[in-house]
Parts: sequence; structure tokens; C-alpha cells
Amino acid sequence: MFSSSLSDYQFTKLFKNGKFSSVYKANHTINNRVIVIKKFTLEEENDEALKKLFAEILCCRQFNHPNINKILHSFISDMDVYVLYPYMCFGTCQILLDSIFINGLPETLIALIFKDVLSALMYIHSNDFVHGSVRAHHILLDSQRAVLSNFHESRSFIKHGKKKNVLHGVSQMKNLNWAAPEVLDQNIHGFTEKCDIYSVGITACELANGIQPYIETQPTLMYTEKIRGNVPSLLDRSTYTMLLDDQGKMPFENSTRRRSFEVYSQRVLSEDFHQFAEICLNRNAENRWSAKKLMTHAFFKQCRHSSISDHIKKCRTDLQHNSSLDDEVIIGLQDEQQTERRGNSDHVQWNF
Amino acid sequence: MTVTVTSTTHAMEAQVKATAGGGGGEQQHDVDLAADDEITVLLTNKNFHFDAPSEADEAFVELNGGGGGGGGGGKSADMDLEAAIGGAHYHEPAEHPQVTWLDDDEIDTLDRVTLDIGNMFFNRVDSQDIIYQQKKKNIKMVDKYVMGDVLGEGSYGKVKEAMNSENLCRLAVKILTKRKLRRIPNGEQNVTREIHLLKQLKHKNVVQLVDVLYNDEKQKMYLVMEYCIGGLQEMLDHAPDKKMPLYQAHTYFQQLVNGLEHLHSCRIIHKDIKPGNLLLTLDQTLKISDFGVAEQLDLFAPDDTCTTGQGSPAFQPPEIANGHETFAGFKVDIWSSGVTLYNLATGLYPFEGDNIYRLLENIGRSQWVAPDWLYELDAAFANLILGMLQADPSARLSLQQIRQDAWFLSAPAVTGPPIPIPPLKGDKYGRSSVLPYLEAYHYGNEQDQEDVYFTEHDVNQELARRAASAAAEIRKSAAANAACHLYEPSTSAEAAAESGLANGSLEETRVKKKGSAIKRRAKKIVSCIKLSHCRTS
Repeated sequence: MFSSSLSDYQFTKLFKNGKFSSVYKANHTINNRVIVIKKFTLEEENDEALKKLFAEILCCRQFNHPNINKILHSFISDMDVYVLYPYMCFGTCQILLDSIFINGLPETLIALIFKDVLSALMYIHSNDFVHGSVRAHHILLDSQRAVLSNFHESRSFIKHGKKKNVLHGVSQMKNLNWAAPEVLDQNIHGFTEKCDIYSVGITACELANGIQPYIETQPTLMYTEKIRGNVPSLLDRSTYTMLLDDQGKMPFENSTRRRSFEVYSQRVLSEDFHQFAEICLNRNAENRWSAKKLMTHAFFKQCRHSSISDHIKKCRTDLQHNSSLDDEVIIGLQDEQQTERRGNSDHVQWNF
Repeated sequence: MTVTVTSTTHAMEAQVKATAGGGGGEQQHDVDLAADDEITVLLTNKNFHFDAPSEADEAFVELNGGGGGGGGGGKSADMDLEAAIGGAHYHEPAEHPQVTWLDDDEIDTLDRVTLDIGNMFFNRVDSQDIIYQQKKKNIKMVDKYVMGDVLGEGSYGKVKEAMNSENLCRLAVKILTKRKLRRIPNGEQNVTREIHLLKQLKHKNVVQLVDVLYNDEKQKMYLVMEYCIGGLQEMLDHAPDKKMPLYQAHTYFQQLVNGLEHLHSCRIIHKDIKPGNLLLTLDQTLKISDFGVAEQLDLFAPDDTCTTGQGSPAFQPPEIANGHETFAGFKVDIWSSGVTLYNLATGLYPFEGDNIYRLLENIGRSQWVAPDWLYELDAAFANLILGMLQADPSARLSLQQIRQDAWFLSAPAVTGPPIPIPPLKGDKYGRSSVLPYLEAYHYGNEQDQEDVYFTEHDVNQELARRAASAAAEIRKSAAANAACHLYEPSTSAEAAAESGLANGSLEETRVKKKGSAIKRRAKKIVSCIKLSHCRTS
């Protein structure tokens, strides 16, 4: 389906340029499909990272689920590994948070995203895998659905033909803020697939508040807080006061933080959403609901009359008023319009 | 009354405090340095002053001559007393009239003063005059690592648990002090070589050196290594028959062979393979550790000929026991691995001896013959052991041959639950010991608890209580065992003994046999005495 020759791909845009990997948007000239290409260099002496990459590719190829980011193809050319992914026009949820929804995504959109994420997690867990790094950065969006990506932290309960009951191991430094207390604790108990549910809870706070939980906290303090069962919460009219200091004043100097604080103090998030986050963030892993059970939570009722594309349309109108946005999102939106138009024309053809 | 300190264990989480007995300005301290070498050091302290303090430190509550102590009977606590006593002498302007408090660092400093300069004064102190205080968990950082509790201690220094404050990874830190290294022959040289070796090694089954730090001011060196929850030796020590099921030994042995293969491929001969040097991580991955006596062959060496062997006697091959001038290095590790495997699975050693000379004589004398019961247990297993314990190094199996061995390739049937990793300091989940330090650091104000004090007497009582309960437990399990296997009249006697009331002659012998085990347990228990119920002054 996809060619293994580099000359068949036309690189159109560089998303990210790193030391070990770069991400490009590209066009597959043979079938004219827009894809994302991740390029990893083999020259680097970082065999740890390479091993992880191979594990990720192997792992992803075992999965087949609409809400899991597929690897379309991978090949080696010169000293580089190229991995092909489908193009998701909105990129990661992180990009949305950074550009459009600075004070957090609307609750219904969050519900829609989590519905997809949880169905992906349900699938992964039923295959005895743990994702290990659920966070806004690892959830991709296009106009139809949210998909879970970045499986480099994922681990399987099955190793050497034996199924283990618990997993051990540490998580990557940049994902620590999302890690469950039992993962951080590194004791004999180990952790289970429930650690993903905890990360979902932290991600819920991240998406709703627009800020990474624990972003300004020392890692050691974050660790002790989580061990004590203290968790970040969804900020709205009922909970925003916890941000205030002893004198009842806002602790932030910076004006954007002040503005988002005002937003928090005025909005209301549903009781179901608060409850959902609370269940996910339970200190005791056994009391956390499984992904399957969470799908039945009342929080997802609001998904019924809504779809991700509705929200995207809404934000497109917002976009027209606000020109100071990230290029990427604008391009994403344009692409989305294109794909939608194409989709519409398909639809017309069907009618015809 | 005289205090005799039977061993020095820093694990005892306490600070030492010497108070003046009833009256005199001069005190005498009688101290036993270490358990191993029963040296008695007598310190006479002529400079002990009772200077009035300028300001009373709120942390130090006055305690006068621990009246209710009563005095330690036979045993006494494990404590670095000698340092404490020196402290009275060294820290003249004490913060408190009759009291000198010392923390670990000060004890270290005093160690140096009293030992290295050759202080000839000895002190004697009443056991009831020594008061311990539960140690406060003051956070200590070395570079980016937060230090936790002491995991173990050797002649070179301590091993502490630590945590990387950036990625929250659990680690173990070996702390080496120049002063202690100088006392060991070739100490500094050995450590430099060990670091050099560890830096080259990167394998799943070899302990990983994460970082090396130096503190010139304190003359300390820190070797940061990956964290292991326990060693095979401790597992065996805690197992009922000092052995593990065959299938469990099999999984560890396979990992040992994998690790050894990596070492040998790097031209490194470990020379000290034994259960005590095989550690386990949380997910039961075996790690070969302690490269203190390891040797790396020269890149251009024609073969693996070695000249020195410094490993543990019971695991030495005949060629070393017989004192050959040169021998094949790789085969030394094979022999020790064979002894290790035999020890894991049976709890026995192929060669024994009353003392080290007898032992080495027995090893060197003749070819080992696998006992008949071993063949009955598992013939393939007996064959492998026999192949690894060939007295002639050239006839001994190589790693490649072991890989092809029938037992090595087999999957022994799971015959029951594996023996577990023993609890570390009473915590069966093996939680990080760094956590209390972090909590004290981050929530210090909330947790200002009362100071806890206790005396020798309390420690002794607690020790005795623990030892008694340990003994009762052993008796109980023995009785239970006996009850399971044979329905003999003696069972009733044992059952009676179980309650701890009767002490039949049968029990006594059993207890005697297990005496060393109890002692060891008791020693360990000291480090985890809960002080909640102890008398507070």
C-alpha cells in the first residue's frame, strides 16, 4: 500500500525537529494521501530510545481499533527509520489547549474525547497491555474522533509466554505528573492497568483547566502529594477557591493566569464530571473503575446529541474573530474543511 | 554498671546521648567496637565539662541520668557508643548542661578523631546513662539524590537507599569514605577498579552503575546504583529450610548464566559469585553485583589465566583451594555458579569444613560426587551440578555447554509457591524509605511530633521480647510441621511448648540449633523497634 522508497513522499511541512526524531507532514505521491511521517535517526548512540521505538511499532501493529493511532507503514532508508501515521488535522489536544481553549476545553468536548479514549483503553486492557502515558499530548483529534497515540511507554502483562499479575517499572520523566501513585511508589505491589485510569483523571483536569497539573510543583512534592491521596481538581465555581492563598488573594502575578482564574470562578462543571474525575483519581487502584465501567458513567450522557465536529465548527467561528492563533491550528482547520468537503462530495455521490 | 556494646549498627535509628550519672565529672566508657572483632575499648574522658549552656535549644529536653533505666542486664543495644562517648569529650560546649547529642555525621567525625589520631583515653559510662532519641528525618541531598534509610553496611561504608529527585527513580547509593578505604588493604585501588568495570557493563542481569559523585570536602565517594529490593542470601535465610523450590532456582540460574555470559564477553571474571552477591529487583530480575574482587583480562591476553583469587572460601574451586599459581579464570565463575545453584536448591554446600582450612582442604582433596538423594530429586539437575563441579577445570562445563544442558533447557514443574523476598525493615511491600524524609521536608511544620526518648533498658526489654516472640514463632512452626508429618507423642509436648509456657528438653535443643537464627533475627529487629510504647521522659 505504502511505498518504502523515500522518493515517493513529498514532505510538505516540518512539525517538530528534535535531536533524535523529527515529525513531518507529507504527501504520499502514489495515492495522494496526506500523512504524518516521524523520522528517527539510527546514528544516535541512543539504543535505549531505539529499542523503545521498535517496541512501540511492534505493539501498535498488534492493535486494530478505530481510536488507536495506526502505524500505516515503517521503513528504513539510509540511516533513518521512517514511521508513517495517518494525518490527524487537529494534532494533539495539547495544541488545542495552547491555542484555542486556553482555559480548558468545553465539558461536552471533553466527554466526547474521553469516550473515545476509554474505548481505546478498554481495547488495550483487554489485550493485556497498559498504555502507561495517557495525557493531553498523546491524544490526537481529527474532525470525527479522538485517537490514542504514543505507545512507547506501553507494557504488556505477558512476557516470555507468562502472564504477570502486576507490572513494575518507572515512567519517563516527562510523563511523571500523570503517573499514578502506585507507579511512582515502585514497591513490591507493582501496578496494574488501573494506572491508566488515574492518568485519565489527571488528563481530565488538564483538559478542563487548561493547565498541566503539578506543572510548577517539585517532582518530590508531587510524589508525596499523590501518596497522601491529594489530587488536583476540576476548577469551577465550587472549587476555584482552593487556588486562593491564606489571605483570600489570588496568588498569580501573571495576567493570563488571573484571567483564567476569573473564568474558573464563573463557570460551572457538571456534578457528573466532578464525580468522574474523583473516581479516576482514587488513591486505591482497586477502587478505581475499569475503563469498561467508566464508559457507562453518567458523565457521558451529554455525548448523545453532540459530536466532535460540532465543537470544531464552533471553534472555527471563534477562530475568525481571533487571528493571533497558531499557524498549525489554522492549517489544521483548513485541512479539516478540505477533508470535510471531500467527505461531503462523497456523500453527494452516494445520493447520486 | 558497665555497658558492653555487642555490635555497631547504624541501622538503629537513634541518636546517642550520654548523660552524666549521679555526680562525677569523669566518666568511664567501656565499649565494644564491633561484633566481629571483640575488641574492648576503654575511654577515659577527662575533659568532660558541664558548661552551662548559653541558650536552651528547644529540641533538647533535659534528661538527667535516666533514673528508671534499671540497667541493661546481659545484652545491650547496638549502637555506636564509642562515638557518642567521644562526643562528650569533643563537643565541649554542649547545647545542654549534661547532655551531648550527636547525629550520624558528628559520629563519623568523632570516629576519625578518636581512632585515627590514636586517642588513648577511654571512657566508661553507665548503661542507664545512655539515652537514645528517635532520629528525626532530616532530608539530606547529595547532588540531585535524596537520601533515605541505610540498607546495609560493610567495611567500606554504608549503602543507603536514595531517590532521584528529578525522575523519582529509586536507587541505592554506596557511600565510601576515604578514611575507611585506607584501612582496607588495596581499598582505594579496588574501588577504582570496580568503578572502571561497572562503567563498561550494561546488561539486564548486571547491576547498573547510574552515577558516581565525589565530595572532596567530606572525603566521600558516592556510587549511585539501580535499586534492588533484596538478595538471594536473605531470601534463603528467611526460607524455612534455607532453600528454594527447584523451579525458582532454575529461573535465577538462567538469569545468572545470561549475566555471566555478558561479563565474560567483556573479559571480566567476577570471582565472587555467591547468593549474597546476586540481588533482585522489584520484578524479580536477577542482578550480579559486587565487583570488588573482579578482574578484567587484558585486551591482548592470550587466554583467561589469572593469578589471584579473593572470593568467599565456600565457593572457591579446587585450583584456588590448592593454591595453584595460575588458573583459568572463566572456569572459576562456573564452579562458584555451580556451588550457588546447589546451595539455592538444596540449602547445602558441596564441601564443608569446621574452619576455613578444613574447608579448603576438603575442596582441594577430591572430586565431588553427587549424593544418591540428589539423583532421586532430579537426575538432570544432579548431572548439571556434577558437570559444573568438576575438579579439573578443563573438564568443567563451559557457559556454552551449560546453555545446552538438559536441565538448563527444561522447565521444572512448579511445585508450590515461590519463596518470597523477605520484608525490608518490617515493610513487606518494600516501600521507599525516602518517603518519610520527603514528607518531613515538604510538610515539616505539620508533623512536629514529640521527641521520643528511650533508654538502654527499654531497648533490652524490647529486644528480649522480640527474641522471645521470634523463638515462639519458630517453635510454633516447628510444632506445626511436626504435627503435619508425624503423629507422635512428642507432638503434644511441642504443642504445649507452643504456648511458651513449657520448655521441654526437646525444645531447648531445637532452640539451641536455631539459636544463631534467632540471634540474627533479634539483631535485625533492633533496627525496627517501634518506639511508640516506650517510656517517654
